[in-house]
Amino acid sequence: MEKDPICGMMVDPSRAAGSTAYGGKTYYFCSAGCKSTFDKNPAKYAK
Amino acid sequence: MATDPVCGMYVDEATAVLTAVVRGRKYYFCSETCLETFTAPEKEMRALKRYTAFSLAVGFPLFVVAVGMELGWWLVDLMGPMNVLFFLAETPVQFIAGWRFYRGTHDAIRNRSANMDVLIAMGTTAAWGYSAVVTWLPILGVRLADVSTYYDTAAVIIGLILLGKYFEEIAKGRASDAIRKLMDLAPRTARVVRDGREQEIPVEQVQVDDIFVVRPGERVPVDGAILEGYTALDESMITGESIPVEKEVGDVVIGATINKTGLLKVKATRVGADTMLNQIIKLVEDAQVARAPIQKLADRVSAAFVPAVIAVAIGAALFWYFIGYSMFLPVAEGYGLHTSLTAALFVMVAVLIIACPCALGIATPAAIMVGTGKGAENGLLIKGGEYLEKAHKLTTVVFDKTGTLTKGKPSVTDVVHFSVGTEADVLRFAASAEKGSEHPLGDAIVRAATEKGLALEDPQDFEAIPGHGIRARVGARAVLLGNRKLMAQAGIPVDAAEATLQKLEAEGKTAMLLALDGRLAGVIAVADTLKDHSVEAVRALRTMGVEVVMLTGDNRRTAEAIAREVGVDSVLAEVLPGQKADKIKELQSKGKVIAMVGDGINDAPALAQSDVGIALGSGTDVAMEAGGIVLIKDDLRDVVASIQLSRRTVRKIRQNLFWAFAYNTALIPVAAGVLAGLGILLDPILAGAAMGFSSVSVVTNSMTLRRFKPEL
Repeated sequence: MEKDPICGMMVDPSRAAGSTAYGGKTYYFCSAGCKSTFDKNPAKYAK
Repeated sequence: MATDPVCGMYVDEATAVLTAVVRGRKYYFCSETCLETFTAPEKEMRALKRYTAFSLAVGFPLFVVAVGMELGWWLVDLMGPMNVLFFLAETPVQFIAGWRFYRGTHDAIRNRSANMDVLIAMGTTAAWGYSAVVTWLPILGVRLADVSTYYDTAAVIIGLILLGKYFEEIAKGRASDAIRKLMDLAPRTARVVRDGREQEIPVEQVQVDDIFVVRPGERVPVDGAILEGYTALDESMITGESIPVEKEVGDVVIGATINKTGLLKVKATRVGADTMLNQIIKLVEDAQVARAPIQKLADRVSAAFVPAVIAVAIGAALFWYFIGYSMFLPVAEGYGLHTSLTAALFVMVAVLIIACPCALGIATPAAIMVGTGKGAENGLLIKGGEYLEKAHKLTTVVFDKTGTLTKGKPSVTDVVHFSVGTEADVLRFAASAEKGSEHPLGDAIVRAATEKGLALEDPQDFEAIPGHGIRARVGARAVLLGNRKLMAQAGIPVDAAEATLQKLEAEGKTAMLLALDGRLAGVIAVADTLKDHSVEAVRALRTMGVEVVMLTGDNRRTAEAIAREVGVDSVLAEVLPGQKADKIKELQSKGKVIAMVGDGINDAPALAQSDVGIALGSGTDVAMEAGGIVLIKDDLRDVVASIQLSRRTVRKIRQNLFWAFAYNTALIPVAAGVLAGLGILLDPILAGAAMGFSSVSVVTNSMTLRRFKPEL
């Protein structure tokens, strides 16, 4: 289980609505909305 | 190598001359009979009925008269003329009603393989031929010791075997009823909106993106998405779900379902062969034509069998001609056999007819057709006989967790309140703040509040702060909902909730803090929950003696918590998405026969690796789904039902093979005269009756599959 960096929701990677690779790490998202928020400014939300 | 869809014989496409195109697909046939059977079932059945009646109407009276003559009751002195009469009566039966066996023999020779028609043609022709010789020679002045004839034998055998074939045709007709019933579901017309007007057009002319209208009480013509309106739809004919399903704007509607209450405006998304209904039809059709492994075995046995039978028949005939008759004189006389020649003939015909594995060709298909048809009625699409057999051998069922055992979307699991108000208040404010949110977390909270009947207000000044949470004004209160960072930023201490937060997070849940007017009010936890019937389904499988395993990417602790709740035997945790297929392979290397249950599209590799992949309700794209079994409904009890149906069907197949093959093979020695020492021979007419009976019993046995009901 991975945590969506935008909303904090626990997400099953195999069922994630979307994912983005950034800075050598893959981030998983609960919905398209959270993914697009992340993608607009990855540096701000990446851990 | 193509397969004849009627009798299952292999046909070389390169040399095949008998082909037909039915419903858009090309089929290859081994004989004219099979071709005609396939292309004109009703015509065939009516003709068959006539021939059967004709044969038996001639045969039985002949039989009665002949028996009477043999026993000396009547017409004993008129044997000569009576034989001519018999000849005139039976010859039409032999060559008109019995024509199919000659055609089949001809085709078998052409294809250089043996089939059952050869046995029947040989047997009945021997009876007829001998009788004809015995009839006409005396007229030409040759004296014969014994002028008994066997026209009745030939006619009755033909009649009884045709009767069996008639039953087989009924079986095929009823079994493909499932497909025909599905096809009848498709509406003929659709009401599309073109140029601002409603027009009724043939359903074939509807195109993707057309807008059409479905009034209450009408059938949806093609698959589409609702643009306007909301309603309840009866989807039972596709999914097997008897309760109407409520749908609204944005939801998918399925062609052939019935719109019950509301007026709908729909945009067509899939038409023609792509509609769900047609995908299902194709799937069921393919399943019924596919050769199950056990059927292929039966076909091979049959092909080797026929020449062996002919050899035995000729051998027995020779034995009886040279030795047997004199050795068993009283027995032969008891059966009305007055010469060694007639004894040899009697035995040969008996062996040829009893050995004929006539029902073998339909033993497996009949059961598979009824089984897959029954499955389709209930939203269980089994793609072919081989999956039935594998389901029969299952040791283990592996369930994917997220989206299969669980709903795949978050629901509220815990609501905790501190200092302020009550639990209901916590939920009410959080839900009001999240009202109209499209985010899964917000949706979960709103649902929970609505289910509890809480009244929600619209939020004001809503603001989503990524990485933190949301802020809004509900009525007069300032609401904050989010994580520790959000609270820290607002200067709200959360020590009181720390223990709760940690406990919930350890359980793998998403925990959110709620603050009202600057003070900590409560914690709401959200997590993916089990589907309604997961526990029941797992329990039923274990009761059936099947091992149940859960497969998930969760960490071990969270996974084991859910595993305990749902009741599985073991857990495979922390499995990366790309590793699922390998895990299945590992289990298989331990000798287990695995059924994997998962998403038909996302889990395709793992489903393909397993022995039987069971794809769970992914939507309307059934054709695209991997796996040997596709479940239309999103109900885990269907997993249990599909396994039970498969097992029941395989049992039927085995019973059918027994009735088609075993008992008549056991009688071959009797027909050959092995029990002559006990005074027992097998009358060819009884052999014919046994063969007709085997077809009848296979068919009726298969029909009992329609009574199948899942036991949970």
